[in-house]
Amino acid sequence: MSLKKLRDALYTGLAYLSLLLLAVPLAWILFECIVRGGAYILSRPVEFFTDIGRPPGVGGGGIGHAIQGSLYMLGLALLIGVPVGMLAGIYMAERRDSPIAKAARFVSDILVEFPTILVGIVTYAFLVSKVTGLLATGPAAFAASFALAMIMIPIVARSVETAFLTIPNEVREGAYALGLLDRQTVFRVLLPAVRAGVMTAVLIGLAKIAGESAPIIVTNGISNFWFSKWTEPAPSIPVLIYVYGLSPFKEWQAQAWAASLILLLLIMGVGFLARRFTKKMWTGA
Amino acid sequence: MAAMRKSIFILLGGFALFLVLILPFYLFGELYGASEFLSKFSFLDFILGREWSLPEQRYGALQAIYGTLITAGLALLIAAPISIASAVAMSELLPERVSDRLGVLIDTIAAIPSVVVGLWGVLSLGPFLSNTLYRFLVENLGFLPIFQATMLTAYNKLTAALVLGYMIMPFAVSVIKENLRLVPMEIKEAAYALGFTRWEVVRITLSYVKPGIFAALMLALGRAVAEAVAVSMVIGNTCSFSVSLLEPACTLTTLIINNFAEATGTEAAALIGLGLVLFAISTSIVLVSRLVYSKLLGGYMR
Repeated sequence: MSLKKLRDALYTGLAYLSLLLLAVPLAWILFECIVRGGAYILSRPVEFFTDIGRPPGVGGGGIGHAIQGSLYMLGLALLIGVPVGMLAGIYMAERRDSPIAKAARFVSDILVEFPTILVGIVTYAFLVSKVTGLLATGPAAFAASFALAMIMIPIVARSVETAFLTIPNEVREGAYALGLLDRQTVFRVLLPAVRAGVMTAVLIGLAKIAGESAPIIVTNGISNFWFSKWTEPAPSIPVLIYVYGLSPFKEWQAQAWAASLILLLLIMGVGFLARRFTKKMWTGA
Repeated sequence: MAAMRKSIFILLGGFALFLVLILPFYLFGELYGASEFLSKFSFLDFILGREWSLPEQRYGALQAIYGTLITAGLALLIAAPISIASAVAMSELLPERVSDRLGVLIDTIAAIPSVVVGLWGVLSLGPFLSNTLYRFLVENLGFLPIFQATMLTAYNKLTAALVLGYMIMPFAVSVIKENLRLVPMEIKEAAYALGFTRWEVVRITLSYVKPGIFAALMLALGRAVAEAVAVSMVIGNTCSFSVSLLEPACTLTTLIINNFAEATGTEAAALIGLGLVLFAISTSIVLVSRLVYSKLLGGYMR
């Protein structure tokens, strides 16, 4: 074998090795989640989903409160983030050459990479800080939802824009030729045509914020009780993993793995649905 | 009639304008939150302040900036070769069917929430490394300043960089892969026709997309700088200027996440001031990357 070929084989081998290096930690993480987390869930299959966290040493307990809190937080975030992101995205696609659309595109691309912890800080300073906040409630669940909504807006806007750009111009021309108003064209013709694409946009946004913990910790603080009021701190799955994972207690650590397993399944499920909708969009079904 | 026709787009334009204003709003919010601090202390003293000490009411950002730059930089050093090599393997070496399957793997890694990666770092990776690699480094290469440690610990700059590096890899891989896809087939065919070996062709392909790889790695660096939770779980959270990778440190984001909930008054404002520094670093990285990309849009990315 010539030196050249040897070098070729060596580099090719290194390239495959790097793929292996990527795969090993993933396998490791999944293994720990499934084995350590799965064992905890199997030992308390009902309690884990319905019960509240127990103090260390008492034993048992579940993440029911965190599941509930996450559902509330994500629900409100979707209620704010989806309409705002969607309407901005429609404008970016339908008036794509206007200065506002161009600026919105540029800003979205920066916001998508923006440190989410800073979104939390700004939300805190403006809304809930006892000194500078408009509402001055102190750490609160609604602030977490607001921060999550702000994080998802540029993502939803960009994805909705992409979906609308796939609509052929003939459709718009046809709608206007029928004498439809802009409002009717957008909401009765174009939006139904890209239903699947808009669903994908919502799911991508949801997948992005479902795993966020930094903005929640900053705006809402840490709570290990049931969700009580929007103006009080609430628990959530990511923050529970953070707190339990850093604790020295074995049973809390096991629950952190179990909660991670649930969170991973949730996010992967959302991602899977998003891919299904994307396929639907392209095949036109 | 004309007014009615326009009306819906005026509304939609309002939402788009809102989106545009989010970025200045963030900047304003940072300044507003930090204003109490900025009115008492000079910003220059803050950035160049060498010490962050609550009891002494000293708020210097330099240790945190140092921690952020060294962990994010090291993460990039780890992630760059592996990401480039993986992207090459997927787009140049493996058949498309296999590469598509691997794409799902990459997407799955990207989908892991940062707190779960952090959990793995705290409970699995950190303890494992401190008993193996770190022990080996301290015992055998301990004469090097970067591997000196007064106490063997699982949570230090190297663990943080490894965790961060892993988190930015899937993103870097997919962007570099997209870049490689754009290289015209003719170039590769011509190279093969000239009798180049497969690796030589890969090198030609890579040199063709160098600016794209640079932009992708810059964005990856920006993500490493911005990450908060996973780093705070594994970095040991002790501010220092130590050069050793096996000593704990703090970063801009970890100081914020660890102290923000209980902070009041000047301390809270100082933490928001750290956010302002993070804002500047992170936004400039993203802007540089975007600038390179928009140059590319006139080049091979058409």
